[in-house]
Amino acid sequence: MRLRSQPGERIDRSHPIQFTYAGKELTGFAGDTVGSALFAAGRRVFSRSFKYHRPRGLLCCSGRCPNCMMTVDGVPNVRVCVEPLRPGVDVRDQNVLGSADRDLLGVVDKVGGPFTPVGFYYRTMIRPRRAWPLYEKVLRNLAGLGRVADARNGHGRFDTVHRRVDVLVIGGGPAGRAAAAAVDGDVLLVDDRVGHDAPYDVLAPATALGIYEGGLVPVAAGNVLYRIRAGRIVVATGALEQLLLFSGNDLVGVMLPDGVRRMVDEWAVKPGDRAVLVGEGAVGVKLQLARAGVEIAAASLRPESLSAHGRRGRLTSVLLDGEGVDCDLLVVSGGLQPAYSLLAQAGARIEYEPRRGIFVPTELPDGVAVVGAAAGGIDQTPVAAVLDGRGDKCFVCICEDVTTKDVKRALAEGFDSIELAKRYTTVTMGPCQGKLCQLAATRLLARETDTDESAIGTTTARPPWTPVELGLLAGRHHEPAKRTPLHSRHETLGAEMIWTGQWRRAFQYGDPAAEVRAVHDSLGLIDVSTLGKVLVEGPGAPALLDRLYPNRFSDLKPGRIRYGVVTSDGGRIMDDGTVARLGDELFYVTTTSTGSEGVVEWFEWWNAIWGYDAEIVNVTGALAAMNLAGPRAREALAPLTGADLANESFRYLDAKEIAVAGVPCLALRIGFVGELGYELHCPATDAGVVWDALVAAGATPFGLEAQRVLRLEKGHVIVGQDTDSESNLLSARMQWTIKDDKPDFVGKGAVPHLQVRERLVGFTADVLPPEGAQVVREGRIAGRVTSARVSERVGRVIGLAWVEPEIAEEGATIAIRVDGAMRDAAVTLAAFYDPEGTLLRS
Amino acid sequence: MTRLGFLSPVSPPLKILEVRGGIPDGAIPIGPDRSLVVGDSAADLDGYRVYDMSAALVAIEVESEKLLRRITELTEFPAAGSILRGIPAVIERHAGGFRLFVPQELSQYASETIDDLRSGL
Repeated sequence: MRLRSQPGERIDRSHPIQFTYAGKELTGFAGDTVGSALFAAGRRVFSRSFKYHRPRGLLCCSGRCPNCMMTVDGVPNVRVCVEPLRPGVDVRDQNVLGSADRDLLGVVDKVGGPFTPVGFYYRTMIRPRRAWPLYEKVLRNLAGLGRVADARNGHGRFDTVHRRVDVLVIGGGPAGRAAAAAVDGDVLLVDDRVGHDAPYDVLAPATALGIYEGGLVPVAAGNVLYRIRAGRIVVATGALEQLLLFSGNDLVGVMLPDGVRRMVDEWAVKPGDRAVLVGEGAVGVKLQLARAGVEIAAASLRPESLSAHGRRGRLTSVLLDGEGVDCDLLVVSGGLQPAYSLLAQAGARIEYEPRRGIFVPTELPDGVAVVGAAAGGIDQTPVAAVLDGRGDKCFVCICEDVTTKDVKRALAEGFDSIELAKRYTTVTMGPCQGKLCQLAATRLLARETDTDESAIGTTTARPPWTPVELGLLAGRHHEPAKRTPLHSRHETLGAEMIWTGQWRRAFQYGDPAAEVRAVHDSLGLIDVSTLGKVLVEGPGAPALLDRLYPNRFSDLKPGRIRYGVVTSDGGRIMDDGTVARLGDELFYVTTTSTGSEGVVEWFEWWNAIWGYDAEIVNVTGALAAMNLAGPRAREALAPLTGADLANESFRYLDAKEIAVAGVPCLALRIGFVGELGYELHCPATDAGVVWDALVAAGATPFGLEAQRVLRLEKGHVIVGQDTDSESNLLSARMQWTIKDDKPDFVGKGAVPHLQVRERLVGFTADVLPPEGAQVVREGRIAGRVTSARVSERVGRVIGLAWVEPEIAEEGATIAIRVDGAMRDAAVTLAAFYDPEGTLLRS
Repeated sequence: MTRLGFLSPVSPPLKILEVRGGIPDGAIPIGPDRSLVVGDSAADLDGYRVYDMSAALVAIEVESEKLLRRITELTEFPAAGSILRGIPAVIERHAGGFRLFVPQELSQYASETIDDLRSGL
């Protein structure tokens, strides 16, 4: 089927390439596309259509129409007419039951037409409503394109490259090349065909997907998405050959002139044996057909009527102006249409020009230019909306199988604007994105509504201009992991690491219960470097914190610590932590592990409004933190520091700068886990020295699970775990943090309106409920469990739960649903362990 | 113990100071009135609020501009922005290539990812 060598052909006949189609071994040449190699091997039917499963063959050979979409190496919807042939590539049919040649679903075309008019699913598949999932399943199996590859067989990695250029030229035709060559400076030309040697930078084959604000142009190039920022953009996307509307215009053997030209000139394949040429553009391929030895049976520049006829979906004859002509190739041209979509996306105005029957871009946005055929540099006369002729279906949109009859029906039902018709019929919504059907649809609507094309207009152009793999848009998979400076220590100790937000944290080191016991009876050490850490410094710092928090910090003495809860202006709990005053104008604020960035933004946002002279500095990453806790904490720490740790000198809720193992630390005497403890904050780079010294002093590392048990024994709340976006200070029983006598603080206005629909209480039980378990009262849901653990020290299951205020009383019995059964639990309002805080203060 | 001595590492691999209240000569601007002073700078920091961020940031050197284009869309240096889709970073030209300052807690992820990209993964 190959022609003798053609001038300028792209194939290299000295390099044969083996590939498979539907399991059969075939051979092409280097320089072939998958489509040209298949055509040369005798294949004529490349796909089945979206809805009617009609056979479809090569039409445009330029990657614009949907006719050659196949599954290549597991990737669906690949346009094989532009997909370079590679050794060993595996090509398969898609959207068929059987094969592309014999698709059992083709019966839809034979008998389904009358039952499946446009929008039929809106009218005929609505009852009974419960059957819709079944209808949907059937429709999705009958219609559609390729199937997305199984995620387990992912077909490749995607990546993103960022680039900035002074001038970006989109389109590698003569006009684009001339524009690029004329630029004196940094210029990049993007070409969707094979690249060319040039004195400027060329990215090819690559397709610009859209033009966004700020000169951002995403460009697809294989598995790489280029995000190009351009100072100026020159659009040279050329013009698109349009399909004529006539009966049978989708038969295999109907081709556009440029497709024929490429088949002969570039791949040296004979497109048919006997051809009919229709339209101004079609006559231009006479030379190619003559060279290929194709007999030209008839030609007409502007016929009155035309219909194509075939057998099994393949063209056998045409009726041209009433005269029957046998042929297997019909080259048709509905004229050229400037490819304006990218310009329209950029904000250009698109206007109809009746003299040539095309839409042209006008009023270009700043920084965007258009050259060549895309600008409307086309000399042609308008063609008829539809060439009359009886016979087969006449398609306006071959992507979505929308016929002229469908559009007329939509009009009759009142969908009389191009945008409404688009949504109802899906015309212009298929893979070609209107490249082949936009103008045809406008012409048809104008004719049927007895108006002109300028009144109909075009549909809105939106990116992507060309279908693109979702993987390319998603790019490389990123899952940033934050690691504490002690991460390697935890790994060495064999810790089970878990995600908490973006952080990787040690969950346990083998025996969480033993870790809890170590803290209670001896000495434990936990890495709490994930805590947010913020410095607030300046003359305005005390007043700023007084307004940011419901409680007061301006009266906090230097060297002392106070608990603080950050609330929203609606009075809802956002975050919590401690505030240590290190100097008259210097405070050290800690936040939850996942809250630091949000709290810093919150602080800065408010301070931008209030304008206090205070710096807010996020030092979360600069500092590691570890909590040394247990009855032996003081005696273990003392030899490592010269500081006086006596209870009278370093009291509970004191903050002091001390050195531990030679490392400068900020020591906070606080106790989230309920035992005597010191939270040591030190430079991240020196954290290992401090950790190692404390472990050598006898501290047992404990993980998050042990910490969760310990803090629960104290009834300490974890914001986000025990609270949600509706929780407020009254319902969480933290009203003691509200200093109402302050003139202002964030959320003050909301305090009088706070409602207590439920309260956070502790409970003890005999059975461990899952977190989230329902609290049930009189047969209805009356709350939920937020945290629960078995406590050896308490000797029971302990937990926190939101319950209705009426039952939030000490000793009240509540019912919790566990595995479908109701289990009694007793409400406890005080801490389960050391409720007086004696140990903390010891 | 000096003011905020607990912020300063015992022996930092690279001295990095965050300066608030302006941009001294030779500093890398990271905001309208914020900047970084890297190394043994002779910058006069009197009158500014200065915070030692030597332990907070890790420097990663990237030689190839081609590789940098796969990491960030920032193109004008020095610049403060993000790399690898969301990791905050400060980037400056350095020794014929580029130097990226990233938060130490994300530095292992960033360096491993950049290394993967360099290896063509």
